[in-house]
Amino acid sequence: MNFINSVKYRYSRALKVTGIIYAATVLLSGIMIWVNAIYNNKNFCESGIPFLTMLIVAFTCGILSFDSGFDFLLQNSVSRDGIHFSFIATLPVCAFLAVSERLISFAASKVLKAKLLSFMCIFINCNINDPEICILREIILQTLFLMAVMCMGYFLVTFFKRVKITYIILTVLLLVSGIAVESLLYRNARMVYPVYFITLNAFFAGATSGEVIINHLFFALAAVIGILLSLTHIMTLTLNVNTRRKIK
Amino acid sequence: MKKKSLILPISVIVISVVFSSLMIFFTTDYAFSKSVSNKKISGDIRYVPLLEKAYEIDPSCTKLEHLKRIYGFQQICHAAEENMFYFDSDEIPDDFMEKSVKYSKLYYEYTVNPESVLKRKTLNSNSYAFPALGNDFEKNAAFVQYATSLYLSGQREEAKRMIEDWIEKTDNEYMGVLYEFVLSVHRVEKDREWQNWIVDIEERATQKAKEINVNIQTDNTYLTYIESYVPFEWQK
Repeated sequence: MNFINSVKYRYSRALKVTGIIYAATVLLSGIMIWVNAIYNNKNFCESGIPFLTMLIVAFTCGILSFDSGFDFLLQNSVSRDGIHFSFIATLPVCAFLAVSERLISFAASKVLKAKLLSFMCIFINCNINDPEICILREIILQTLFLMAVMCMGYFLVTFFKRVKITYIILTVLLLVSGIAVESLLYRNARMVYPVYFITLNAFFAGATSGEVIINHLFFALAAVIGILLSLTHIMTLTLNVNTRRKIK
Repeated sequence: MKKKSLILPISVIVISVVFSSLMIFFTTDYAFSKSVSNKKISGDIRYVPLLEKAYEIDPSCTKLEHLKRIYGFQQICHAAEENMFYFDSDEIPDDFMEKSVKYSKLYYEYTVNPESVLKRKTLNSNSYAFPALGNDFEKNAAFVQYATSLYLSGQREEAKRMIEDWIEKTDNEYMGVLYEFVLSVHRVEKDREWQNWIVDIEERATQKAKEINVNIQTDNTYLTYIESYVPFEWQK
């Protein structure tokens, strides 16, 4: 089995597994938009619900990519690098999801005869009256968001299912103790800034003042995707095959 | 497992982490807030050209706020006696007043129409990010600050015209913001004629303020005006 076949396999699995979820979420988001428009009685419809459902689809796709791929592909003589790069090759699915979100929202606005108020447009402070630039930016940004979420799903399932339990406990303890120490300091002394919060805000938004600097957000998401992919790459290279699991 | 294969992911992680750290600590407003807002840090002046450059590349409300404060006219008025100069150097830079006018004007324009200056909106600019937006008091204060900077930079006639127009057109409740102009300008003005004009406009502003605030007893000299100044309900 070569690299091309492994990519084909991954795509077929991804489409099969997420197809049902995708259809269900499209249906659900359509109903939600409709109910929301009727309930709020406004002359616009929001695209937040379809986007959130797409995030769920991307996350599920990421989670299932590891379990469906790793052992099977390894047993079929695909190299470990090949396994990882075939996952990267499935990331453009996110672009499809982002475009379909736009289409669903657009269709909903046409059916309801309401102005489309984009969730992402508000988030990134695009000018709503300047749709051409806004749509392109939105689609790119949504794709990056979905890719980050898909990589997160892939990373989490790899980490929690295959890495030694000792490392998992250590990581969780480290994170929890860090947050606990900071919370205690913040609560008792009132002198310490919530460093995690400020760092995350500065990292993603580009400022702590509530602004979202759009270019900054693009780079931050790219960095997150890079880190997650590299970590999973290292795990893919070092993991043992799970012999407890039967391979179909 | 080939160890060579690990080179790629590890190098990507290193690049991403270094890049992210740089993004957080050197290109965000947070870095500038930390470095510039502590006014007495020695060596602060190093950050000012960097901040100006950063504002040119990516204008944002936080950077503008810092620049307006750094190049505020208050620096000149209070520096000598209160040692509150933001720059670590005792000497005032040559282009100080020029920049004071520039940034106070930008700030005023921002309070009137934020998009004209920043060319983009902010997420919560109404509340936390920039309290000036939509606040009439801040708008008037910014206008008076701009006029003060103009006056101190030598453009007295222009400032005079602006202040007189402003007194005529502005609501009585905003007259309080003029005290900053009166105080700052009177302190540095040596010409008797201009001093008389300052006292005159101060009296005119006080007369207007008296119409809604009966607690003001005097109508001359800025000092008594400030002593008897009682904040309005919306200012408490």
